[in-house]
Amino acid sequence: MLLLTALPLAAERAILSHQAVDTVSVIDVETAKTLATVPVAAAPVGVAYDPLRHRIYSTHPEKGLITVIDSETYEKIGEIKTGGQPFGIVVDDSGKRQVFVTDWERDALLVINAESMLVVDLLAVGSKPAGIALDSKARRLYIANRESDSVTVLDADTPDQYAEVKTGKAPYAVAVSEDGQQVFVAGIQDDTLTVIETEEYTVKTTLKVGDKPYGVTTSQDNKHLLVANQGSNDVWLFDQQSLKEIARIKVGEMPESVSVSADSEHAYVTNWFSNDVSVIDLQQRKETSRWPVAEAPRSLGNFIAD
Amino acid sequence: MKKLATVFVAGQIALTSLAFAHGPTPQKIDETVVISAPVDAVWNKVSDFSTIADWHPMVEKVEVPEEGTRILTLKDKGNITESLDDMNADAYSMSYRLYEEDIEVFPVSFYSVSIELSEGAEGTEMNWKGRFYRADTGNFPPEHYSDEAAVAAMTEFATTGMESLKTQLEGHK
Repeated sequence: MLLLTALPLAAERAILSHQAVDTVSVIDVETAKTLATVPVAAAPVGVAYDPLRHRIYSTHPEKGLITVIDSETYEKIGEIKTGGQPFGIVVDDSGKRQVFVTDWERDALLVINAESMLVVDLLAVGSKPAGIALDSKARRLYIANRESDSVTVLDADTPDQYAEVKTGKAPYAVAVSEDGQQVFVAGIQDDTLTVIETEEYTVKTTLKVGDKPYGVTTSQDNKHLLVANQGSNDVWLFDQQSLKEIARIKVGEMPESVSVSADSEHAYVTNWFSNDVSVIDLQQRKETSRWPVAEAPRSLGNFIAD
Repeated sequence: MKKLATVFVAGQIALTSLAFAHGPTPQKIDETVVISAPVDAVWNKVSDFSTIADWHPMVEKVEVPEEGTRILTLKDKGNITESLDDMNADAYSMSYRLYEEDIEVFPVSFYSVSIELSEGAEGTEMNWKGRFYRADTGNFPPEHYSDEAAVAAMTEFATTGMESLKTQLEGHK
């Protein structure tokens, strides 16, 4: 892989799970060209990119498994049988052989050894865990428990739980800021964003957001905070420090997940109903293009890869 | 019909105390019918949340226990309850959701629906979109509680309603 250093830096890629057609597609974000369409098991939801092992993972709650794809050749390498309903997924990018997956059915966090591709631990969390975020420097995991209206804070290396923090109603997506200081959780039934500080794990404030906020993410420069609202078909852009609203940006229909490029310049939004991806320019604060993609893109998690 | 701008309904707060059997995989429908009638005529019918029984043949009667909530009695089936989320007369759009399910009556465990009208060349385009979960959200649903059964039920309810409204408003015999 290091042979690539002589070449110009490759553009980032968007990894899309297409729930209705059982594929994962990979799109070059510069050209909007589809680089690959990989047939996978039924109804993929969560996606994750593994930069250490050059893999893409997709979760399949309907089938109790995770698909493993080579991120360079786009060949399917195999499947990890987890049982239950694997949902949100995040890769430990610290170098430890860990992939973390929420299990919607068993109310658990699954720890998977990325080398042996086996489930090595199963930890109790709240009811119907959905989104998951990892602060790999601080070694903390944040899990949104959709039916218990809370976020569970776990250690990423030991089975220790630090806190269970009450959030808005039906938290689905969760994000942690790059500086590790704030955790953001979107409550899809009361249209709130709970902001949690990570010293004591207390709720700092609760922001009002759009209708049915299904997606939340932060920019790596710690400047922006974005919430994708499925009911109001828009993304609300906030200043990550002042928590003031900056803009409301119209996107496609029923947006589900939002991710930001590594340079913090662009955001990408999967529009589940209208089958497209909105590209947002974060300087201009508007949607600059919309790519038609395969049916029902979801991509729970960070779906932008290098 | 009051020409209200945007009405957010307070019912959403109470709604969250109910535990819905949300599954991991939502389904969708997207149905459109063109009605040869002015958009305001269609909107007057559709936007009155309490009178769907007047134009939907599958709905026998409607009760309104409180503003923004309606109990539908489906013909030969039983009751389900819906709750209004948004009504925007300027945009001719409304959305509502299933508030109390009964999968014996309607084989869907949760849905949200948005209805939007627009003026097209042939008349008023009525668009009915739904996002929903099958009745049995476990991984091994019986056939009558499957994704297919849920899609069929949602599609039938939308198209039957719109076709009937079309017939009424176009004055067919």
